[in-house]
Amino acid sequence: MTGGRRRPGRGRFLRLHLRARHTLLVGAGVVATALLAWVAADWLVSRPNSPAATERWPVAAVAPVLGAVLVSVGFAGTDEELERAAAVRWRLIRLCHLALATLVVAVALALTGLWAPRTYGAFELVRNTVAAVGAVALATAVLGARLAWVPVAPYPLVIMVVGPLRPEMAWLSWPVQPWEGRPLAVWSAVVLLVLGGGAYTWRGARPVRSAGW
Amino acid sequence: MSGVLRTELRRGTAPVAAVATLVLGALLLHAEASQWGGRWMAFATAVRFSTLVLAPVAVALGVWQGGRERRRRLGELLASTPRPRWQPLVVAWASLTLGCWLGLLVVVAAGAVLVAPVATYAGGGWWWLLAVALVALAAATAGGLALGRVAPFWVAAPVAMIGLYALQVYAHDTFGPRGLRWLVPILAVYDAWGHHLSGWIHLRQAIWFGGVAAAALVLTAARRRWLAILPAAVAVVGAAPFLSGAPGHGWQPDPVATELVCTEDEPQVCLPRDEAFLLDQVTPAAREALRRFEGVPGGPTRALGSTFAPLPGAEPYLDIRIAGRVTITGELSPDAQWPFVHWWPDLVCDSPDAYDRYLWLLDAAAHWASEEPAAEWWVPEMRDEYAALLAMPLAEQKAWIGELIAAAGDCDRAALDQLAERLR
Repeated sequence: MTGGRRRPGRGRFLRLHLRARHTLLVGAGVVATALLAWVAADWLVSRPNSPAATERWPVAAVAPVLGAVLVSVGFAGTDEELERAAAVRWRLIRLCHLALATLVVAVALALTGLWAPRTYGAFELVRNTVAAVGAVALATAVLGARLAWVPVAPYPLVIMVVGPLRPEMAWLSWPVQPWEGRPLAVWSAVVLLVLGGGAYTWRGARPVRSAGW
Repeated sequence: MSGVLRTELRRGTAPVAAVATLVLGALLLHAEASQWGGRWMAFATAVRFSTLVLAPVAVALGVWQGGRERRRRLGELLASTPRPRWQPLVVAWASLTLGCWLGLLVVVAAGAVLVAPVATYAGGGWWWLLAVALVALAAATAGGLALGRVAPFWVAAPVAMIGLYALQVYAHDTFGPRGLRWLVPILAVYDAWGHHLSGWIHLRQAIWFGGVAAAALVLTAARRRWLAILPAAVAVVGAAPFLSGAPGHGWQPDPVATELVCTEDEPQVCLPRDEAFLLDQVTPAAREALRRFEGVPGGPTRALGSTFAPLPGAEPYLDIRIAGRVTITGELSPDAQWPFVHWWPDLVCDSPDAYDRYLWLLDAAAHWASEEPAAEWWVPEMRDEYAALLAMPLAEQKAWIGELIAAAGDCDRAALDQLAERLR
């Protein structure tokens, strides 16, 4: 008999990890979200009598949340407790996974909002992506990956109807706030990402008993 | 079966559905309160508007419920029991739907407690709007349940939620497809002011949503899935008149709701019957505005609420607009910034360029009537001219307004130019 098997290299581990987290499907979902966002924004601004770029505000509110919910699929493995038994630097991996997910969604959506980027365009899409991924990460740490969408997905839908739209309440209604003159919305996004990213990186997804999607 | 239903109601998704519908419904109705306070039809329409969020949430809950057996890995266990395949699914759907209905009915009861003491018009068939809202929620849960069975991904729930929300917004957009708006549950509250829907619309919507619910359930639960053709055909029967754009659809003015209810003493202040609960609160401010026109030749002599139809007779009147100005308890919202009594001189000209040319003159007169300062968007010259009007003695101001009313009514451009010149 020979000695122990060789440990898989980093590249192989990365490939296996990305496959286990359904990265290809999630990536396709993010691309589809960006395409839908682009089509919706194009339709909104091309309507007759439409005052152009500001009409895109629903897209800036909803698309980042949809993208964040999709990438949250990869925030936990099929068996979280089993995965954690492996001698791997999970905190570093979670941090990288979160950073990469935020970057991919933000870039994909920002590309659809390059026209008039400060009027419910790329700037708002990136800010809202940061906030939404942070919120989903926080929910993943508290509720588990499978339920992470529950507090996050309905949030922009409700805020779009009830507001409040006042600048001093922008920290609460960040999904519908414009970029210009709303620093509280930016701070809200940063705080959500730091809090959510910190909780997720430190604790990981809350393990759930039953597996599967 | 009732025992299983009781268990589902206690331990299934139903309690979550009830709480979510209750909290979100209350939040949405509270946010829209200024548009429905004191009016049954507007209140029922606001409940329908709340389905903009409640129906997507019901769909998401349905998807979640539909995936329960797969998540808990109970498929084989359930397959080994002699229970018919449709029973657990229908029970799960019924419990979830009852949960949604319970949450909505509590919200409706709370709203009814607020509306009932003040409402002055209870007709128009507003209750049918609520009945169709319940059927629409049942369709949403059934559709979600079916989707949850066929889509083995937990992201299907939030994606379906956001998708239905977007579909409803698209269907109701001014530039969206016209017929599609009646195939989604939401209705816009402002459409309901002084209007009602024909019973046929309620019936067709109920048939459509009921057919969708039944088709989704049959597709998911029945062994012979082709049977879903029957309820699908029923749904198409309900939907076809909307999509074909047959005439007679949409909100129609309600002649009883818009009938004017007036003060007994002069000067007369009138509101449509469905807003008459505000008559006592509106009257002092309306009469104050009318006093401004005492001594103005051809000036308004009474103040009227909106009836959404041309009024018989040519007597000039002040316009009372209380839309969006009512509190949740049916009182006039204290909002000093925006006067609710308005006046705008009638410019009776065939050529549209006349409106552009004399807009500022008419606007200055409207500002004079409501004793408002110059508008922010006015250029400095216009501000100076408005200041010149206010600098005249009051009798002269009233004479100027009287001449403006006469000149605008006859589209006398020379007289209008002369009036403008007098302010320079």
